[in-house]
Amino acid sequence: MERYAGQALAKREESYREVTPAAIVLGVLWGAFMAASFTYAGMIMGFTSGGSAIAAIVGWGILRGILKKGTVVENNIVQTVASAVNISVSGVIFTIPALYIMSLHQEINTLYFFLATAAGAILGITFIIPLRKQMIEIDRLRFPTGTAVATILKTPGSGIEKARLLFFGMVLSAVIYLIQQFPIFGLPHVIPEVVDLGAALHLPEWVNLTIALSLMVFGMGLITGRNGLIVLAGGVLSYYIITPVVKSLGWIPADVQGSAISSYVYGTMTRPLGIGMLLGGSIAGLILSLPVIAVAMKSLAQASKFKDKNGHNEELPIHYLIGGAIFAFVLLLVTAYKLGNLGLGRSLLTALIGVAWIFIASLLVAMSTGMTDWSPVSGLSLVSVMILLYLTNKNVPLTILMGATVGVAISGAADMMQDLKTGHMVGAVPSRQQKVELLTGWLGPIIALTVVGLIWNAYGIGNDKVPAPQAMALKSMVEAVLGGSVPIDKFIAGGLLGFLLSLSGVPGLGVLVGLSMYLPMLYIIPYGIGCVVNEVAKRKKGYEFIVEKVLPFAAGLMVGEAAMTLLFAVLTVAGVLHP
Amino acid sequence: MKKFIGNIMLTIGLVGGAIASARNPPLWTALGGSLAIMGVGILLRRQGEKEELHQSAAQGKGGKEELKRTLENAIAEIEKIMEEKEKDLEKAREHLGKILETLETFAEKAQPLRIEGIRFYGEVMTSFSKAERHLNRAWSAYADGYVKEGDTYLESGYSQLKETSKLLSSKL
Repeated sequence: MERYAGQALAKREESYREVTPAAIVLGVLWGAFMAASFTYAGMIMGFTSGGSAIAAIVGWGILRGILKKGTVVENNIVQTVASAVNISVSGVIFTIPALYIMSLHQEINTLYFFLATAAGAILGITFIIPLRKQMIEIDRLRFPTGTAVATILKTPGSGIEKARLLFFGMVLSAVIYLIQQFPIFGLPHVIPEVVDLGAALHLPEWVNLTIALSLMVFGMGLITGRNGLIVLAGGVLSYYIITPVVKSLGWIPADVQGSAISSYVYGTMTRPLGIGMLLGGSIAGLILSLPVIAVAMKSLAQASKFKDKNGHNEELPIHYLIGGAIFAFVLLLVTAYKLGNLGLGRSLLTALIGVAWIFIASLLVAMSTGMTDWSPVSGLSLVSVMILLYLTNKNVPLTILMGATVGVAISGAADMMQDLKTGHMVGAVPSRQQKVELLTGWLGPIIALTVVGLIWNAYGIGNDKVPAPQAMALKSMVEAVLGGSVPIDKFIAGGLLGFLLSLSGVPGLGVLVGLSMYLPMLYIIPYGIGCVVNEVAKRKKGYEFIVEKVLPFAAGLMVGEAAMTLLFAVLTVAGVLHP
Repeated sequence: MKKFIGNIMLTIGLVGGAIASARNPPLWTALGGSLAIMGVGILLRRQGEKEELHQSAAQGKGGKEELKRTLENAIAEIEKIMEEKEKDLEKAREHLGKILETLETFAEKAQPLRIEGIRFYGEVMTSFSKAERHLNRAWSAYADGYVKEGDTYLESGYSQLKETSKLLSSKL
């Protein structure tokens, strides 16, 4: 009875398949496979990926191809579970390996690794649930990945033309990525990963005009549209206005010359300013949204009382959220009390501020991914380390462990929101998605921690074989904070600018401009080009053209490259690839 | 004009503030001045935006009347689908897909409702989004061949759209 694009409708009378054992088992297995692969590859090569889109494609292959009975909303559960299990990987590999590198891992019982990261997984998901209404239903944020995944889920019923465009985009971006990564017939760099347009145009060395030739990033821009133009404008401000002005005013040390000028301005001036703007902008956004959040909460409470004809709630009852938050708070409190030697009062304060910070950081990361698909995790980690080192009396092991909690929480929050956006677009019942995510989200940290432990025993961490670049970056952050070289003045200045920008009446302006200062120009340009193409196409051909042609093609561009990153991860695990 | 001047002041303030903040350490006095310029720019921008929106609403170019029309059209189209689906379900589903695309434009056009009050805007969008999600589910269920489920959610989405329209009219 399965039906593919272009075929006539078949009629089924049984109840609509959504949360099924097949969907959950498939989601967990595929998510675990991705989590293990990306943990290993992430520690060697420094990259991870969400994997929702790939999970959706695999879901179609198995649910329809093998089991012959999958539905759109059932496959949505597959991708929700798989990405929930996989997503926490980045939160773990950015933090925990740093403990191994600093030989501090033996100071913490392994059980606490699991408790702290599981708390993060639960907190991130719990906190973001009440914000679903505000971000998805009221503010209508785009969530490019969520939109792309919905396009994939709807493809079998959307007609041959859309399926063709999706497939064409996928193949194009996968082939380009493979050519970039693998030399063909001994001819490396047939298509380079980056192009230095500045050098080609003979611009001064300090003008950073290097462009990443990434179709995935271009596709993200194509889906984002108008919001991304602000990111492009912010990038121009950062790289082509601030940098030359700062240079001409002589605010750069004399020994910084040539192409190092741009990196210096980015690293010590605009990036910390961007982090401050992100924080200020999101706090203002939160304050401005309070009346809407109140409406959303009221509606959530009403909807959670409403049951459908099968006796199910459409929205997760509010006591689930309160219970989840209390549970995670207790886990953090126990961790801080037992490991930090801080006393009950300070442990309580640490857990309370930790939970509050996770809420703000989750909101920020969900807003950023909702508006642009970018997630400022490393910047937020720097702020987390700063706050936690202060709270824990500079207890480094506890700081890194709680940093893992924050990392897992914020990556989980962003993923949950992307999944809920997908769910909205395919008509999923939100409470079902939220329940399966809460039930399975904590599995990811266990898998990632186990893989990290195995790698430590087999090869060690922080050496030529396993460089763990993200954990090394965290180690540098901790040392910078301990050494007192955190640019707090930039955070405050940026925070003030971001706060005011968000009061301008343009929703999320502070966050968008902050993000543009925080991101490297390398990616802003292809992303911005995608946004410009979207806007031009919309004006010339109308909104229908965007939905019918641009979205499926853009989704394909994102999926093709993402699939190749998973292939790379698997080849790395298999030992075929190694830097 | 107010909005234009406000935008200019906001941009000048932002550029000046960002440059002043970029120095190590920041030039706090210059940053304060830039924030003040931004503040005035924001006030002008918001006032100008409000005036523009009221003007265009008065001329019938936008605002709640246009939103109501969009909803009424969508409701009428869904009524056609309800009849159409008995004869040709595939065609009815395609028709539903097109309506869902037009409803996306409703969401874009509804942004100015924020000036009527953020709470009112929140209530309208919450109601509208529920309708949209139910119609999306109807589309998915029809695509999967679950006709009963599709019918249930088509009706529910239809009623919810009517609720949204009523809500919109309540403050006209």
